[in-house]
Amino acid sequence: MGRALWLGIALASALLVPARAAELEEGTPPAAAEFDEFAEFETEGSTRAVTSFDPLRGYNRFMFRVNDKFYFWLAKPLARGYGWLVPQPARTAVNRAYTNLRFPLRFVNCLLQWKPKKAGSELGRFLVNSTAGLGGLFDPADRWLGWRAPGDEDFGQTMGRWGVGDGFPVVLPILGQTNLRDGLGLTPGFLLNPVWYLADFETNFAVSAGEQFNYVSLHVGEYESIKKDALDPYTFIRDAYKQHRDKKIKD
Amino acid sequence: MIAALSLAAALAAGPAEVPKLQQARAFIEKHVNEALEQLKNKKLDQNARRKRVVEISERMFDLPLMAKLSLGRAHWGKLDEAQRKRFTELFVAQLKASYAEKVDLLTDEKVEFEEPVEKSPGKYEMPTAVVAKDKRYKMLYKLYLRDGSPVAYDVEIDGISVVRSYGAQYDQFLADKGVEELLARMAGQGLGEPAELKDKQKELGKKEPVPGAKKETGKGG
Repeated sequence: MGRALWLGIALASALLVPARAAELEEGTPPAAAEFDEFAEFETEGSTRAVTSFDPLRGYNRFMFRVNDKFYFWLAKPLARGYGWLVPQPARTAVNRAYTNLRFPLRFVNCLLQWKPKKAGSELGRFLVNSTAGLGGLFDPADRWLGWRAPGDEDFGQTMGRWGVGDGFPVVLPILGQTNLRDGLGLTPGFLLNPVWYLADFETNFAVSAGEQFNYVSLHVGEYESIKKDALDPYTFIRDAYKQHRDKKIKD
Repeated sequence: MIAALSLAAALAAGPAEVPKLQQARAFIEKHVNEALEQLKNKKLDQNARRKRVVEISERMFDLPLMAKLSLGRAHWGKLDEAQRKRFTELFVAQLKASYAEKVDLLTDEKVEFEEPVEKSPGKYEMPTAVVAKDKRYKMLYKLYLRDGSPVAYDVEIDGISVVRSYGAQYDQFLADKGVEELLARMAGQGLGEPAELKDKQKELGKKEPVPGAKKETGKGG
């Protein structure tokens, strides 16, 4: 009971932090002319790194390592095996079908953010792709009609749009990097995903896992590349995720 | 086509007459298209392709400036001249190596060029989109005028800025450790390849092995 209360308070206070309260470190004041370059290139005042507010750092780093092992020992070998069996165009089509299924989630969030045009675009694409696109396997809406996919909206972005701060970074088992706000946003996201209503829980879980699996098979090599580039992959992914989400919320 | 011809005509009239905004766009288009051509060039072997693409990136980006901006004002002030030089060298080498590897992950992506924007006097943003088989990635180039000509000083991939990402890591690293350690670590990362990336190349049907393959040192975390 006590822990739930603590968690509740932590949640409430973290979520009340306004979205733009990034902590900037003040460096030594510029002396020489060469520091003019920094002044010149620091535009919105947030050129410098994103917040390093990471209260769950110990847990996050641990879970990061766990996920890393999961990827290399389990997910990747299986995904690659699957990739050898199933040709890439088929896997891409499957990916498109799963993406199409997430229409309700995107649609609802477009409405919640009062983006009627985007909502209309999502609806049109869904209808065309579900029918002419054979259940979403293909994307005739884009290819034939030029109705390009607008950026995905989800509950985390909706909340961000409404001014809810991201709280702090959280690394979820298997699902990976997220933050408090977006992590909480996953729950209503599940409720709107048709995959979870198909049959019994086990089947739905398998179908959903299948989606992730299929996706991984299409993107093998990217995580390894990131790891190689980064001085500290955990920090890199943590901050890249935040930059990416902040940008998506603005769009 | 018509746009290209009119741009060519305008350029022929003298660079001063072409608005800088269009120059910025033309600059990015030229270099990106060149890079794409090299990537699809079947006559070259993989290493030659990578080399060419890296050369193009050197012309496209002001790499020493990126090094400085990534490290950031706070830390740059703490480095002496020799360290700054060393840092810039290592950063540039790392960026080039990382760029070269990304080349291996590309297959037949197309790039779409959108309209450039002048964010402030002399600073431009050139949005592009990379259309891959199952995703569109937004790549935004940030340019400034160096001696009157546009050159890129950062790129954002789906909102993730290269300068900021490296910057965040340097901040984190230098919070606990010293500059010399950072330089040693950067030197140690080397230009070799993890085994996993070689596997990816095999999958894509690229048979040539990459020289200098090195086992990955220490995992992050």
